[in-house]
Amino acid sequence: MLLSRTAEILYWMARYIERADGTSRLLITHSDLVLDLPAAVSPGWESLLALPGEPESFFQYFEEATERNVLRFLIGDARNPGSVLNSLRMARENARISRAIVPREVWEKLNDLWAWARTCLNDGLARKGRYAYLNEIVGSCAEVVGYIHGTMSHDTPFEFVQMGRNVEVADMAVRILDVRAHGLLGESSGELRPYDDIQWKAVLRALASFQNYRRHVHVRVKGAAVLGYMLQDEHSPHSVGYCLDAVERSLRMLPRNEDPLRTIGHAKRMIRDADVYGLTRSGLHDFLEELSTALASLHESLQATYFLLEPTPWHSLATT
Amino acid sequence: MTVPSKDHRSGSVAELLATYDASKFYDELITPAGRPRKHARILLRHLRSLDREELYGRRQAAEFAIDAMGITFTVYSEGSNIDRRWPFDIIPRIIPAKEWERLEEGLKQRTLALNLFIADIYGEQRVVKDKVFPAEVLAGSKNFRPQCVGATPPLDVWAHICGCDLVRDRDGTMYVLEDNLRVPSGVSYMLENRLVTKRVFPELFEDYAIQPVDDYPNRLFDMLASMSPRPADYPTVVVLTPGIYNSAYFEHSYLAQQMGAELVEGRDLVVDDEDRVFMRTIGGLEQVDVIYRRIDDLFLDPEVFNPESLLGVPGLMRAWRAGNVALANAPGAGVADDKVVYAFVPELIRYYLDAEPILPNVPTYLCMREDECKYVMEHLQEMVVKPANESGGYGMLIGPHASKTELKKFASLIRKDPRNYIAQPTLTLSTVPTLTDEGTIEPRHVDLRPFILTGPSSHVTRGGLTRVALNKGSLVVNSSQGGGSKDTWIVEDS
Repeated sequence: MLLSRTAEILYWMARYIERADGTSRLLITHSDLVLDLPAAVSPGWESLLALPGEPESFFQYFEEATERNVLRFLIGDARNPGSVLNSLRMARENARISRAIVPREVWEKLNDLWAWARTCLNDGLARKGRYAYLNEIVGSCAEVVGYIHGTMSHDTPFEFVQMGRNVEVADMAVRILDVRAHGLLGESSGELRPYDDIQWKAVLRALASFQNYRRHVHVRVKGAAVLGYMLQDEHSPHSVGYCLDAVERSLRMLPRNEDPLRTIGHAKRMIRDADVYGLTRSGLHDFLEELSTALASLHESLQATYFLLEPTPWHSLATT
Repeated sequence: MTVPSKDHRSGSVAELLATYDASKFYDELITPAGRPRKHARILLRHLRSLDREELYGRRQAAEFAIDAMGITFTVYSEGSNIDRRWPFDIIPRIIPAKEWERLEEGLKQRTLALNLFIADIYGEQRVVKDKVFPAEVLAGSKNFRPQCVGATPPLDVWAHICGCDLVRDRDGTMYVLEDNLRVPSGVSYMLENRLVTKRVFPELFEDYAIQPVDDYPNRLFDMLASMSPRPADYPTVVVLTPGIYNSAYFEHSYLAQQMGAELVEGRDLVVDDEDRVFMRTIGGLEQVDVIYRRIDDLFLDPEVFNPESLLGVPGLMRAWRAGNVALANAPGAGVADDKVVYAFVPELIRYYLDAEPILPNVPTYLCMREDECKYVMEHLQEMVVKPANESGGYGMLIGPHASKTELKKFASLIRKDPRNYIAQPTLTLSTVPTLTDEGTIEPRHVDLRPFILTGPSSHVTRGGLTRVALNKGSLVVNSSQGGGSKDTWIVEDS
């Protein structure tokens, strides 16, 4: 049976890979968006600080949320545990200690990627080099994920990698929707303002879902449809609904899954029952906050069930 | 490796070997007159038939194979750990099967006596009462564990896995240099060296009947399984490692993988109030029967030993003493690692087995004895001085290579704590032809560490790990200090 410690390492390795990937993707689309929009409409940079990690601490170190400061903090600041560089470092560390299980290429690629990202950090912080730098990270993460899928045995350890991936992607989607959609919808109650279209597209791009959306949703890119797609679509690998289904599938392969399955059932019902049209008018922020809490409970349930095994009571836990 | 320059790579290996000087030391492959020894004829004929470019190519192939297999060892430097490629020399060391049989018998005899000694020391201490082994040596032993007194491990085996270091002196005699009964390492390199050599010189395996070594992980598993306190077809065996920062981590994970055992750290295990050991798995707590521990005694159980240890498992000693889990090697087995105990091994063999030792010890002077200490002090410059309880070649004095200051320092160390020092005449370790970074073939000093498994029966690896001091003239074979290794062939006489 898989050791709890190993399961946890694999789970976190996958979460950190997705976190580096998701943050990089968001920063690329956000940079593009800022270039497209006139200053009056621009979402600015401060809104990005609501990402995973501890962005609250930003103002301990910086006075102003300027482009330069925010990007430094989100890409390469050692003081921000959620920065791209820290995520890569943690992904690498976790791969290193699970070398007996993860394919050799995964460790080697993550090791190279982290070393490269550290060396070239200044290029990534400069406007001119930012796109190439972040794009390299997105591409390399895809390569790592490709190695995991293509070469790692699809048995129990793999399910923990998958769960890490899916919990992180769902969490990222909820946060990005909160940061962007919430601000976007504002007071306008569904009426399309100039530039809304561009901004909704940016949300989809940040979630790697623009092309999929175009193929599957035949309406103009606008609030309720985007929200519905990112929350409820069953096929898009970056939609919250897809990720939860996937975690559920993984859990069904694992022992002692009652509690995590219950938690996931709750989150799934929330999404299924969500009235996206109503939410675009009011209550979106509260809804996303609640969904975020449900995802946190799912993580805690996985942790309590599989990672932090307490030694008592003996009789009920001993399986052999 | 440094790449030899072009002219170093042209010409034939025969030319290189023509200038090989085997007259100064005992060479394992070549006689003092420069002729191949009988068992090395085929190898040397083959080497001579190569040109230097090709020999260099074989060496490169070995390095590619080592990189591809991920064979590394860890070096500590300034707080960080670096995985280095395992240094390997492609020219094997060969021992004829006939000679090996005798060595094997000697090693079995020795480990049998050592196991009886350890059991006795933690039991009745007959050997002390009979005045064969002095009580004061026991009292001064750093590796004696009072916590183990009265314990009765399965089959009364304490040292399940031993690594005995053998060296050959100028006259060709093999001596036992030391016994490692705590957590001897190196066996994974023995196995990997063979895999690499098969890739590098496959043709030689057709010409020689080389005894295989790759049954070791299975034998290790069977031995460990035989210690299980719960009768089961497939007991739960785990390898307990201090973690990835340990210099032998590669070996821990390698052996676990080869045996199909789980590789665990202390925090993966937990002991319940009925003194049973469990590992934390995603399926719940799973009872563990046998632990092949690669953690030193003092870190095993913070309840009993070092309370600061985060590597160990609280309660593990309780579980072991209760007989609910087997530990290999048993805690306290290191009492026989003491180099003062080493000096008594021939006596112990006579005492416990009523037999003459098959393998000789290196003559050893105990500084705790006044007359011997006096002799050591007068001949310090000719001797090797070792602290009684160190391993890895640390804290040693090699008299002939030492400076005046070092000699003085050791003289005062010995005076302060004579019990802690032994001295031996400096042996001229035998040599094996070795390919140097400059592209030449030169004699380099070697030792040999066979591994002995003791369970219901005992087993000795066919050969062992030959370690080679890669630096010219050096006698230090430890990988952390410029040592490398060679494949070791036990060959049937043809």
